[in-house]
Amino acid sequence: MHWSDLIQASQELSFRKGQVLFYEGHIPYGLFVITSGRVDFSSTDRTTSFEEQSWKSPQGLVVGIDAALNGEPSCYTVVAAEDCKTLFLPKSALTTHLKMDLFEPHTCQSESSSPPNRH
Amino acid sequence: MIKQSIKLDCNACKSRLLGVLCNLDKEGIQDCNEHKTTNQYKKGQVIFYEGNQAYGLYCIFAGRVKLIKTGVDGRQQIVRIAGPGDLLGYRSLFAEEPYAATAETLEDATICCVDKNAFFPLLAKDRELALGIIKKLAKELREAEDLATSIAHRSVRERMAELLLMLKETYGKPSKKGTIIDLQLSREEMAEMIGMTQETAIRLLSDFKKEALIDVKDREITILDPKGLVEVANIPL
Repeated sequence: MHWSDLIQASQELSFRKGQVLFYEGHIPYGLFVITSGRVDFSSTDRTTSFEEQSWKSPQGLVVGIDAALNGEPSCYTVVAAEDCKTLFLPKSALTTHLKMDLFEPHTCQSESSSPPNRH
Repeated sequence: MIKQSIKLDCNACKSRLLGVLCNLDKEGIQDCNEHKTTNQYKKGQVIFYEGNQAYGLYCIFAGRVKLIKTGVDGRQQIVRIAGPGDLLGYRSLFAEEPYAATAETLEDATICCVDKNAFFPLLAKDRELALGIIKKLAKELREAEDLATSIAHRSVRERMAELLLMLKETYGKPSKKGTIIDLQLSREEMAEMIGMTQETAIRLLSDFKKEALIDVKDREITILDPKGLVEVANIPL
């Protein structure tokens, strides 16, 4: 599996400042790679009802991958801290690629009719 | 507090039977079950934004959602209210265009999302499903054309009367006094649905109340005289 395969299966999604990528407690529909702009993470503390623990992300961050893979609700809400662009990879595309043989070598040389020798 | 994820089985879903997915065969239901994600939304949360590329088909299990378009001047217009069994985002999916409206919950809602990579093969296999969606698209196109004509040619008073009658038909619950509209919309939301200002909407509702056509208690509206509203709306027979 190569990231280039995953990028081909992804699509660009833009979010204006203040728009939400996904909410705390939700299972994200996929993962997001922040390609420009920044996002803000926030989560409600388990013992109180107001927001706290807010972090601002750097660009290039991948968000939602843990929840997308394990199918558990997200621990935080992700909001665009400024206008930002993301690459969105749907969960189904990610799991399809992960189900493929991860140890299959990716050959860049000329094709051969027999499978590559792994040993 | 983090909630546990919820699992809804399409086989047992009563909301599915209210919409175009009612005709799905066993295989189709299983495909939906395998590829869907279900989330619970609080009132006011956004499901998808106008202008973003469509990535999935949403089905409402519970609750109501408003679809809003934003004009160049920043004014919002509610173009549709969707409820249990309704699909969201399918027009944009089929047209391969960005979402044409923002979907925001009017109340706490449970929404299922089926990945587009899973939905298209389903549509290709199931002729009944495809036909059901075509019928729905045709109906919505007609309703959109009617609304455009209404906004262009009718007075604000006629439009408000027609809106109240539509809400009565869709969300009305009989009571001793009349028919209660079981959908609590703000004055601003009502105004957005029929292209008028909030002030005009408030004035008209007040006028209708004085004329004993409706009763208003906060956001709860009861239709007292539907025949009177039909006359005001000037609906052709």
